[in-house]
Amino acid sequence: MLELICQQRYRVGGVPVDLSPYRNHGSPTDAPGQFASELGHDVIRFPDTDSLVWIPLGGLGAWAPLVALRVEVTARLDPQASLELALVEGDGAFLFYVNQRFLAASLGGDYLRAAEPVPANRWTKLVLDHDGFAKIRLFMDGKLVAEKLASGGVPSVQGSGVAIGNRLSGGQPLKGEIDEVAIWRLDPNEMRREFLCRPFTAATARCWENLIVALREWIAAHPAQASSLVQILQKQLNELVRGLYLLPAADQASARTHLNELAKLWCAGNITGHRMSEALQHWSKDIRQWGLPDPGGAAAEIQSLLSSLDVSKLTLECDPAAIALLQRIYATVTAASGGAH
Amino acid sequence: MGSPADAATLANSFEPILLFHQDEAFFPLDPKWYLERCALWKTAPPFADKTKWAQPPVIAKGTIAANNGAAEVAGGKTWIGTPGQDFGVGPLPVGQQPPPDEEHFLEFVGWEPVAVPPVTATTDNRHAALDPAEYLVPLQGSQAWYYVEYLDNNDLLDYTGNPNVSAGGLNLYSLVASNPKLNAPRMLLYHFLYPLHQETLEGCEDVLQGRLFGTYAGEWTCIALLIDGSPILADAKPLFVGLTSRNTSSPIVAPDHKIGMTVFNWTDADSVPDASGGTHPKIYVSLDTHGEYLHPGTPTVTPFWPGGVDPARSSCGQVEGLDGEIAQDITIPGTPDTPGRDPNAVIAVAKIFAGLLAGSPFGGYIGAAAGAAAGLEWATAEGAFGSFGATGTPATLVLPKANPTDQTGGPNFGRILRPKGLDFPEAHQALSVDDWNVRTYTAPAPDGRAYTYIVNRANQVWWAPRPTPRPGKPDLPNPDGFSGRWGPRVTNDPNIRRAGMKCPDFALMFLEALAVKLQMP
Repeated sequence: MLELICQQRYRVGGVPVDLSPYRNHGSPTDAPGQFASELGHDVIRFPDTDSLVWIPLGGLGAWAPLVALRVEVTARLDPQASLELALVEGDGAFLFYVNQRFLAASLGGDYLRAAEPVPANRWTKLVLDHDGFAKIRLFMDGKLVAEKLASGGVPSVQGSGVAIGNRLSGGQPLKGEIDEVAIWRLDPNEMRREFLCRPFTAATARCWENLIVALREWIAAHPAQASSLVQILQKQLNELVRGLYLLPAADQASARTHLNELAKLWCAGNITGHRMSEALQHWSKDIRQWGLPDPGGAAAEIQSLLSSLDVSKLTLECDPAAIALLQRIYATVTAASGGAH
Repeated sequence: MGSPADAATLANSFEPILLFHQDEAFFPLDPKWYLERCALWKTAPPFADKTKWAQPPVIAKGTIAANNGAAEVAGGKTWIGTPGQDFGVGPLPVGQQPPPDEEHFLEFVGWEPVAVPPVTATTDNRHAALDPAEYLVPLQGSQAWYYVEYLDNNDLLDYTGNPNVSAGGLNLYSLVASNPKLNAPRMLLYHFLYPLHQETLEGCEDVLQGRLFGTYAGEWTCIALLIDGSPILADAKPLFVGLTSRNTSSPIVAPDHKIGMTVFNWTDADSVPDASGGTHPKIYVSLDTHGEYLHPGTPTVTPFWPGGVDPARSSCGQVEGLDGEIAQDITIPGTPDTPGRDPNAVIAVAKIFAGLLAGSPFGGYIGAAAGAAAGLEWATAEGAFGSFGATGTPATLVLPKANPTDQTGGPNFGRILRPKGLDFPEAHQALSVDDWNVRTYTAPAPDGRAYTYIVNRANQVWWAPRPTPRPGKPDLPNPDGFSGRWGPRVTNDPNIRRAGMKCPDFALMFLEALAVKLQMP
């Protein structure tokens, strides 16, 4: 699920205003407003070499992490524009631009370019979409004009922040106007939101709170193991989600249905019932029938990393439903994989 | 600042009608009156730890003087702005202050249950005093009140010309103060202070944490007007009205923002004309939370800051401590953005831990390796949901209601506060109708002291300070102001949810909300 982190409009004299709650208004340099009669309101121009709207990182964490990224720019290019026009750049993270009149993007080590030119002198919605795991795509007015497999997620924006209408260092102003820019990222709180939506009792909440306190203590005492553990988890998740995004559309829809069913049962507190068993079986079957990476494959390595964890001081007895769920997951996976676990 | 006479004229012309719910127990009162009946406490980090609350209070209850002067401090009172004293009064706003190593708060009625002395090793101090009955005696002698602040166009230009005013680079000077379409606008702010804000998670009334989830003492609200620059004051017309309501976003991204503001066209308000050419908007005030609305009903409350609706509300607030642990900064070497918040990593590793526990010999169920595998499956499934499968916040969240709402009065009302003698249909559907009697008060001779209701930041140090003016620039001055809380700190409050509120800079809040409003079709 994506989170809107910037939605700039320029409807009062070209002054940038961010409508998102992150307040990424930014500061314009040599970027005046102009009335666009066909739109009926003001837009912003970038006429000079140093013209841009600069957005600092700010204190609310909008630009880290990104992972997925969607940038929508509604722009009109001058017919006489130069050949390199920057739309939006995030320091060290992404560049969305027009190259030799063709829409293009560069993210980390990935580059892609459209096969047809951006029309001049016409308002066009230009879109860069990186799902965070598998595919990068470019759209013009809703039409897919370029697609490429991604080598990884979008890195966080670095210290110089974000520029709209030019490169951060200047020199490639968007000769033309922008009406609106909207930027989304992968919602970093989705997993937290979903985990906490289960109907906890005071006792089960305290149970998990104690577990997380112990986890923090273990991380502080074993930073190298913690780092390895998180990297393994991240790798497992990345491979799994990348595999999901590369499935045919119908299979993706099926996987989403099953994942949403799991989430709904979790949030309804229906953790140990028959429906949860069915949902787990569906999800496990999905993974195996499509040849997706086995998430449990790294269990032995993880167990080894956690050998320093003194479990005698911890308990999950305070959350019997979670124990039952874990048992059910294990039984489901074992059955699906013919006892491989 | 704009002339006090003009402020009074405009305040009178557009004085709002406040319509309260039948069950409402608290009404706006005079902040000066309130301040002088409070104790001032000082704390050190961690601020929610009551052992850090210095005892006795730095100014004892009932001995604060809000204003300076020999007559004000007579009888052993202490002016809160006394130079050289550490009372939380200074020139820098919170955003310009270094990370605080101390904090001040006001205490009016105390904590629940009310005790004497109020803070000991055995007192609870987890909530501000909650029972309206506990406020009856302390509130005796108070009357419904507001303070009005007026910035004429020159003030607005000077205020918004200072780039330190607005975070994020928002150019309020061009957007509002010098916007030709707004005709040299002026701003009028009605400040309201309520003794208690009561905020329950809907559907969780029977669960203690849910019932008291966002309840705190000392709540500020505001009604803000942007008025055109007609040269003749009597011809001036409001263009926009800004109304405050509670903020429901997750405090882990932007803590300590208890309210936000939404701006509406003035013409959207249902206003009642008076015989003198004034016109008065009907403002429906929500029960307990004191959100302000142009229409009666059950308006949905929306987050004003990032993070979406606060997940700590789940399970009737019983997961607040757990969420606090998940959302704390974490340092994992070699991972990006560390140290920093990485709730996904924390949750995923917690599931691995859980798997191990379920599978360990101590759990005795499935074996440690099997448990780790199950935990890993669980963590990746949830990660896949967040990264790939989520089609929206799960719709099955039952408690509390997924989309919180406020509740105004109507068609029947409790108390209505109105401009003197103004008649309108709702006045006949109310339990009581009181005229505002907000006015400059002059004490009988020989005392002769005058008390105004017009904000004068140079003399009234209880307002929060504004950004420092730039040297040599015509920025608005920033006289000393009080940065503390208007209600007590409480224990077990990691998200500053139940601590008293700091008085925001409502001028900035209004201008930022107006900037967004001006972008709408």
